[in-house]
Order: sequence, then structure tokens, then C-alpha cells
Amino acid sequence: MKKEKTKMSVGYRKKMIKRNLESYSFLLPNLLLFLLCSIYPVIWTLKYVFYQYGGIGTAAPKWVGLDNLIRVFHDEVYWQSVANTFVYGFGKVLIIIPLAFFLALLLNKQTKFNGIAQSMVFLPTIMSSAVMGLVFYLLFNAYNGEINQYLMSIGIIDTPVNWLGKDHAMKTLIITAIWGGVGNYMVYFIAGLQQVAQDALESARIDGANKIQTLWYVTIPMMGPILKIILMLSITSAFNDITNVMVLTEGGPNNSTMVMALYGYKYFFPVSASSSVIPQYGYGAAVSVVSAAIAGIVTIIYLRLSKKLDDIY
Amino acid sequence: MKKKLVSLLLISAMTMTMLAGCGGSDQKETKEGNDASGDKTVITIWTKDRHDANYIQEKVDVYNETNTDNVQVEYQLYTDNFDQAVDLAVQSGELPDILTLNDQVYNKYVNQGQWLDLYEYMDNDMKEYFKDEVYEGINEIDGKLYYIPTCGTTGRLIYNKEIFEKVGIDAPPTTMKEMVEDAKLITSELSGEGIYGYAQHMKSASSALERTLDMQMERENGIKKGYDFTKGEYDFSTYSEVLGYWKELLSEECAFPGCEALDIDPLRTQFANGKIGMYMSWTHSEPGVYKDQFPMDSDKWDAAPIPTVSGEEKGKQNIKFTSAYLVNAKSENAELAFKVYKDIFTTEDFLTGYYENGYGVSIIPTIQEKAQLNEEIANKEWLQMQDIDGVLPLTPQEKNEQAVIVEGEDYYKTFESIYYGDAEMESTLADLTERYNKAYQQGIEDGIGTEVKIAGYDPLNP
Repeated sequence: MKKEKTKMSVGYRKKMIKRNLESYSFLLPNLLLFLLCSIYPVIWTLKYVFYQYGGIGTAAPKWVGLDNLIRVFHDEVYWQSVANTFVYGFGKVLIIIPLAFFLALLLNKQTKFNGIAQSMVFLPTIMSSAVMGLVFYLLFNAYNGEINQYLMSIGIIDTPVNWLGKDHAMKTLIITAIWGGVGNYMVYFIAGLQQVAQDALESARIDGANKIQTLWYVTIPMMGPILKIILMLSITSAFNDITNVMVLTEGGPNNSTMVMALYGYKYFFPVSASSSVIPQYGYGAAVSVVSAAIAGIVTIIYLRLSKKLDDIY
Repeated sequence: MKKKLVSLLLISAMTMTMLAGCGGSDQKETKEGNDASGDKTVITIWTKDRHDANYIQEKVDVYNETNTDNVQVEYQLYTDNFDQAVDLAVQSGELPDILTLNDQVYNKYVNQGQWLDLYEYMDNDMKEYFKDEVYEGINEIDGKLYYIPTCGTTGRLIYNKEIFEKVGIDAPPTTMKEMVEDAKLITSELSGEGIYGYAQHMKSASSALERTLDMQMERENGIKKGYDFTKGEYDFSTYSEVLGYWKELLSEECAFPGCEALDIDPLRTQFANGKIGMYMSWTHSEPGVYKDQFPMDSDKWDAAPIPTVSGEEKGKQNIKFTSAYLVNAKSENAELAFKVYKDIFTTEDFLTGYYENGYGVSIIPTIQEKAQLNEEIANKEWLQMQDIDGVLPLTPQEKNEQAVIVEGEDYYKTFESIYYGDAEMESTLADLTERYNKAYQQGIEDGIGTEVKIAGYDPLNP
């Protein structure tokens, strides 16, 4: 009896495998790419955390144990870059989310004008960050930037502001990031708004709720789950955002805009064509792993805090 | 069944496409090169320099048409990530036959037998012609010659003569004190017109300071990149005075607004527009820039030696080689590659044209004598190599960058914390000295680096 059961289950399994072979085969290319481009680099990075290695053509990797990690914890510039990342990330998220939501509300109705306006707001999202950085350099540079000239012409400032100097560079980076990303989040919000049940909105109106009350008590709560995803995406992308920084300031002046992802990057590659680098793959890997852990912790905290957003609807 | 077959075919096609996409395009290009040239032997040259690419391509085309060795030369430009491209090519055994000199790449592979000893194929005439370009410990190691530098560059003060005249400055500054005073004078008198005394592209500290402060210290006291060849150790303590002046030079009283985020090309644009009194840069690049890239009347600007603290010459200022080629010793056609290199890159016609057209400043005496220079260079004596310039020995980190892995910021970035930040000068420099020497000693202990100490080193005769 037992033997028969085993035979049956083996036969059943074979049948199932055969039936699913087609589906699994379709997954194969993606799976291979995922293993090659996502899993392998992670394993590679984790391995080199424990080595001193200068890259291809240099001495063989030398086992250094926890030295690289210890060095990270004593590296003042790295922790300054972590602090800068939080300023940049929260600065960006705190402004971009309400702004994108506001734009989504404004441009949600399907009219010709709204279609054009949506495209215009979305346009920066598909622009190269490097080009965006250069355009913003032309706008914000202290000597002949358009922003200074405009602000001076309307009398808000008397002398040019050094937007990319130590005191203002971070604000300029946040503005650039908002301009580049707001269209993307607006599209997410529009998708969310269109998912809100029309009958719930209708009921609110019948009950006498005005537009603000409907927005506050019906629309926003019903968008809880999508808001949770949008917030998570904006937080994680803020932790990895380096192109703007590379083009506009290279992390300077005096590391005032150095963010943790760029700090790790510079141990692998030169930050710009004119800057030099002495590759330290082991230390770069340690910086990347600690940075990933920080980003992971922030995401976990956020997911715990935002649990309520799932329960509302 | 038919459906399954179609599915399987589709999957195979997708997988093949994906794997093909992962393959390198370089390999494909080389193969096509072979096919296109029929039975000819293909010699590949890699360059990272865009500025002279058209000139060299013309010479290569002529060579391809006229050579009798049945050779087809493929000249390929890699402006981005040249070092990484070479690393991967070495790893996969696909390094080209000839490649332009890059110090990091050269030093990394010189002890691994990757570069051809040119002496093996040089005849006596060639050896004699280039005998002044042999520098022991740099391009000649253990009696083997790995490259022949034909052009060099060094740092100079570039100044706007009109602006200087406008505020009554008779001659360019020779000391840092004079430089700060001149910059202050220009800024105070002309900032209303948008003209400022001094600018430097401080966005990348290493790019800016390599052509300025490094040179100042070499002439000031013979210290190269923080390394004292006499003592055989790093010593940054002597940088305090010059850094003090830099702090002033980059202050609002002297500097062009926004130097912190300035790149070299925006700086040059403003200099060409007459908005900057002076800045420091390489001799080889600026004439071409103001002739073609950002046109500026040649009479309006000139070059002068970089000012130092004392104004005295206590050491030579380093000449950096800008035009030289390495031949791949592991190439199947190494001998033929050498012949191609010799026939294209070492002829007087090539070298004279290169210098005359402003692609580089020749360091070969006979070429310097023969060349008919254009006015951008001819009228500016300090754009050419002078007595204050020389080829300095390599520091331990230049010999092998992996031999001195410094914990924390490098000295360029550390200086940034002094001239833009609030870092205390003496303690920061002491810490820098300690970190560099610790890394240097560690490199020696690990067997990666070697001790560099030159007994009786004379910075004026390096």
C-alpha cells in the first residue's frame, strides 16, 4: 500500500513537472538574468567585504577579516555621508510626495489640457539625470545662473547666491531631485486616484461632504495601500540617488553633499572623468553592505509604521 | 505538441538572444576588422585621447594605404573608463597590440611582462634619436625600455593681460603673497563688471590641485605629492604655508563666485569671456582650447610660472608625459606592432606635425628646433618646457597605487577640508602624514610596495 502511494506521488510529481515545464522554461531567461545580474553581484560584494583587493591586475585579494567593517564604523566621512543621505532623502520625500499628490489631484480629470500638462510634468522623468544635472548647473551656478538673475531682477536677492556652495548645495540637489521625480510619482497617484471606488465618493457627496472632506475622509484613506508603496519607492530611491550628485557637485564642497551610495561608488570608479581613484574593492564592498543594511533598516521601520495604511480600506 | 515545439523554439530564441546580448561588442568589432581586411594582418591601437584622434586617424589612414607589410591598422577610441577596459582586456587576453600610455595602467602591469621591451627591436639610430627620453626607474626599468615619451606637460599660471593692465599690474605674480594681492585688487576693482581675480575648478580637488599645488610644492622644497625622497617618507607638514594662501585665494575677496562647483571647461569659457584674471592649468591643453574650443584673441592672454610661497627655485617642477605608446608584449604580432608603432608614431613628420598643431608640447630637442609653431604657442615662452621643469622620480604611490592604500580621505580631499572647511591646519596635516606613512609601511610589509629613498637627492637635479 505504502509502495503504491509512493509510486502514485512520484507519477503525479512527474506529471506536474511535465505540465509546468513550459511555464518554467519561459521563466528561464529572466531567472538566468536575475541570478547573473542580481544574486551574483550581491554574493560577490559580500565576499569582498572580508578582503583587501584593488581589482583586476593587482595583487591577489588578501583576507583581512572584519577590518573593512571596523574601518567603516570609524570613518567620519562615511557617517557624514549617511547623515547627508537622510537630509537628502527626507528633504526630497517630504516635498515630492505632497507635491506629486497635489498635481495628481489637479490633473486627474481626463481633459486635453490635463493630458498635455501631465506629459510636461512627466517629461523630466525620462530625461537623462546627467543632462538634467548639467541643465541645473547652468540654472544655479553662482556667476551667471538664470535663477540668480531672475531673483535679482524681481528684487528677492541683492547679490548672487552661491547655490552650489557649501551652505546651499544640498538644497539645490533636493530641488533637482524633486523636479526630476515629481512626474513619476504624480503618475502613480493618478493611477491610485482612478482606483478609488466612485460609489464611495458618490455616497460622501450625497451625505453632504464637501470636496475637502471627501478628499480627507474618503479619497486619501482609500489610497492607503498605494500611498504605502509610493512612499516606500521614494524612500528607497532617495538612498540610491547618485547621478544628480555626481554631475552637480561630485559630493562637494568638502563632502557637504556626499551621500552614502556615492561614497561607496568612489572606491570602485572615478566620480568624474577628471577625478582620480585608487580602487579599494574590499572597503567599497564594506561601505556598500553597511549602506544597504541602513537602507534595509529604514525600510523595515517604515513598513512597520505604515502597517495602518493597509488596514484603512 | 506543435504548440509545445513552438514554445520551446521561442524559449531557445529568447535565451540565445539574451546570452548574445551579454557578449562583448569589442570582440565583434575585431572580427569584422579581420574580415574587412582580407588577408592583411590587423594591428589594433587603443587610445583614450580625443583631442588628437583626428590627426592620428589621418596618419593611420595614410599608413594603411601605403604600407608594404600587408598590415591594416585599426585605431580605436576609448574615452570612458579606459583603465577598466584595459583591465578586462588583460584578463581575457584581448589587449590590443598598441595602446596609449596611461600611468596607472603602465605601472600596474609593468612587472607582469605585459609591455614590450622596445630595446629588443630598436636599431641604433632610433636609440640615439631618443636617448634623452630615457628615464631610469620611469620608462626604463632594469635595462628595459617600455615607452618613449615624446610630449610633456606641466602647470603654469594663465593670465589675462588686459585685466592685469586695467588694474595696473605690470607683471604676473611670482609669489603666493603677490598672487593673493593681485587677485584681491582685480576683484575689488572689477567685480562690479563681473570680473574676478582668480578662479580654479575646485569641483574635483584632485584635478585642480594636481596641476597647481603639487607643482608649487615641487618647486618650493622638492616634495612630490607629499613624498620626501631624501627622508624616504611622506611629510605634509611643509604644506601649511601654501595652504594658508590657498584659503585666501579661494575666499570671496579673491575668487570667482562658485569655484567650489566649477569644472575646467566652464572656467575656460569665463576666462575667454574676460571674466577671470588668472588661473592655473596645463601647458599642453590651453593653446588648443583658446584657438578652437573657446576662441580668444591670443594677444589677450599669456602664461607664467606658477607662483610659489618663497618665489625661489628649490626644486624642479614635474613634467607629465602626454604622448607615448605601449606595445603589448603578449601580442601574437608584437614585432609587427613595434614596426607599426615606429613607422607611425616616431617619425619626424608625425612628431613635428603633432607639436606644430598644438596637440602636445614636444620634449624632443630636435623637434623643438624644427617645428614652426603657431602664434598661440610661439609667442608664449612659458608654454614650452623651461629650466624650472624636469622629470621627477616616482613616489611609492605612483610606482604602485595599491602599495599605499590610505585609510580616510586622500590628501587632495583633506586639503579641501582645510581651505573650505574648519579643519585645524597643523593637526590635520600631522594626521595626513601619519596615515600616508602607515599605509606606505603596510604596503612594504605586505610585499606590494618597495622603499623609495634616494640618497643625496637634489630636487634641482632630480
